[in-house]
Formats: sequence, structure tokens, C-alpha cells
Amino acid sequence: MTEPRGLERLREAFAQPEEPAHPDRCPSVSEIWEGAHGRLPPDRLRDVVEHLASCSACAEAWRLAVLMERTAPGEEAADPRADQALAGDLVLDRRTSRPRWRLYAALAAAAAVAFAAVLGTYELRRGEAPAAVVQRGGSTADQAAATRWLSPGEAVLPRSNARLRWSGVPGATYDLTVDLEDESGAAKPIPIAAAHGLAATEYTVPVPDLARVPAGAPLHATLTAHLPDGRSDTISRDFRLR
Amino acid sequence: MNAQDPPPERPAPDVGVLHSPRTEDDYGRLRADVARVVAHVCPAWLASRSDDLVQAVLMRVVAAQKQHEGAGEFSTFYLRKAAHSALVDEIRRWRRRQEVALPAAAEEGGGPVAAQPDPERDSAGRQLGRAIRDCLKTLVRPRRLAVVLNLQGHSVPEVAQLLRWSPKRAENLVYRGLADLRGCLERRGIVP
Repeated sequence: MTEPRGLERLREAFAQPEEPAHPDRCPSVSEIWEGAHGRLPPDRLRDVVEHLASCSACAEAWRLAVLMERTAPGEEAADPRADQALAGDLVLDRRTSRPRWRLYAALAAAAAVAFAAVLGTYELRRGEAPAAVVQRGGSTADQAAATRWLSPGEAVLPRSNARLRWSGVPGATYDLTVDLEDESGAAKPIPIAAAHGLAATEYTVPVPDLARVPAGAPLHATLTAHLPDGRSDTISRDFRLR
Repeated sequence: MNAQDPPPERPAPDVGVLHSPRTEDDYGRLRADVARVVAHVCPAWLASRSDDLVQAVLMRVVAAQKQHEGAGEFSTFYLRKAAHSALVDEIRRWRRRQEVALPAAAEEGGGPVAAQPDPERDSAGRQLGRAIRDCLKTLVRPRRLAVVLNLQGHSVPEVAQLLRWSPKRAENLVYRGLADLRGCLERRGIVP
């Protein structure tokens, strides 16, 4: 399977450091480690991955956890003690069916990999200004905070009153779309409802629009706020109907 | 334990097990390995600080080892986790330090000039990174989860394993999600 065009460019850009929009919502480093190793409950794992989408600091911590699994070239277990570690790894790997024997190589290799991981990250950014300098003066956090959902994520709403609520800056107007998702990802989302130029910070999806939506089907709301200063901010929310 | 009970089986390790380095040679080798790696990959602007980073992390790993002294063996999983935690902490601390120190250096014509040879490219990369994050918000959740993990470097099979999806489902979600992401970027006039 070949990788899509430009994927490396996307990955590199996604790895660009930014100040976390909501550092108080960051999972612990320990939890990130557990998540990267598939050791979190599925719901929590998904929440953590969801967080990575908007938090470059936690995304970096996740990448480091993954990179620490890998042994630097020429540093694979040559020490007999590493074979002992390897034996333990095979027990673990039965759970994941992954060729993860490298995960638990000798301590020296592990530590070296850790440094290689960190410094490899720096290497990717060779010649780039230190993150804190380039972030100075940015308004990304403000933008992200400008528009927020008040409706909880994964809410189950009554069909007769499927009200979505959000908050935003005064003077903003909003475009809202609601799509029916195919959870398998195989089909395109089906547009269910759309409203444009809303001044209010809530919208109740008309009952007729929901007529063809089965109970429990996943719905996805996308809200674009048009801010008074000309910028726009887009957020989304998943919900279901009773 | 009841006398009739069978002897307890040795619990299967859920993590790798490794004897700790115990001699100065072990530590010396470890440090040499690390120093070699650092020397190989360290960018110029970080060179003067790389030793500090190595040392800080090593000290925390050693501290973790000492907590296990007397046990005879300890979990490499735990050690790696401790090392990871130390790395993340150190990186974040360094960034905070740079935030304070580098502007002053810039005024003096110091480090940041060498650290910023291509500001246009850097700026474009940051802009694309922000656009990606904004566009990810518009993806339906399963696609967003799949794409985030893929952007984090995970292959499609790894995405499937982590999120407990079938490989086919993971493949669909990754590729449709990436298509959505590209579509969103293109609507913003960005072609990665």
C-alpha cells in the first residue's frame, strides 16, 4: 500500500509546535504513554486521540512514546540480557499481534532511542526557530476559545427537540450543517440539515429534517463562526438521536 | 494459601523484564551510546544544550532504577515510561526556557539568527499545521481519529489495532478522512 501524496508534508506540518489551546484539558503524560501502547480503555483512548487533534504538545508526547518503541539502527539487542527482555515482549505481543519485539530491547538501547527520538524530532526541525519564539504573539488559543460547544459531546438528543447550543463572541454569525455519518466510513456523510447566517447561539434541528434518521444513528454537526474581525472558526460535534 | 493449593505459577510478565545495569561500565556504555546518538542527530542550535538534556533524562532513569534496587529485576516498560515522562518534561521545560531566553539573545544578534535560516518555510509550515488542526475539527469523528493517528505516523494496521477496528474499516476511514482533510485545505487555498 503506497502512502497518499503529500502525507509526509502533512505529518511534518501537523507536528509543528503550537501553544495548547486548553492545557487544562490535556491528558497526563502517563495516560498518553498508555494510550500509545494500546493500554487505555477504548472510550478513553478515543478521547485522548481526539485531544491530539488540537494539541500539538500532547501529539508530540504521543509521537515520542511511539518512537521510543523503536530501536536505533545497530543497537538491537546484542546483549544476552536483552534476549530476556525479548522473551517478555513476546508474551505482550501476543495480545497485539504486532511485531513489537523491539519494544523492550536492552535498557541502553531504550534510553538511546529515547534521546534519538527527542533529538530526531529536533532534527526534523533543524534550522527552525525554537518553538516558543515562533509562537510568540500568536492568537490561535484565542481563536480556538472564541467558539465553543455548550452541548456535550456524544449527546443523545430527543428527536422532537434536537437543540444544539454553543457560545461565541458577540457579533458573530454562524453556519451550521448536520450530517448523518456512516460509521464504517465507507459512505459519504448524508446532509440532514443546514442553516446559514444564524445570529443566535443555538439551533434546533427541525423535526421533518430528522425523519429519515434512525434512532441512535451518528450525526455530526459542523459549526462555522464568522467572527466580527473577519476571521472564521470551525468546530464540530457528534451526537445521536433517541 | 491452602496446603493443597498448587504452587503459584510465576505470573506471566505483562511487560518486558530486564536486569538493570549494575556496574560503572554499564552506565558508561549507556552514556556513551546516548552521547553518540546525540552527536549524530543534534542540530547546531541545540548542541550546547544537548548534554543537559541527556543528563537530565539519564538521572531520572537512574532514579527509577534505584527505586527497584533489591528486586533483582524490573520492568523495562516502567523504565521506558519513566524515560518518556522525563523527555516530555524536559522538552517542555526547554521550550519555556527558550521562550524567556531567546528573544534577549536575538536582540544581541545571537542564537535565533542561526536557528531561523528559512523563516518563510517555517511560517508556511506553521500555517499549514494550524489549517490542518482547523480542518480536523470538521471531519466526522471516526475519520478524525483515524487521520490523527495516521498523521502521528501510525500505519493503517496500527490504526486498526489501536482503535480496535477491522483493517478494512481503518483503511476506509484513513483514506476518506485524508481526502476530507485535503478537500478542506484546498477550499482554504492550501495545497500541501
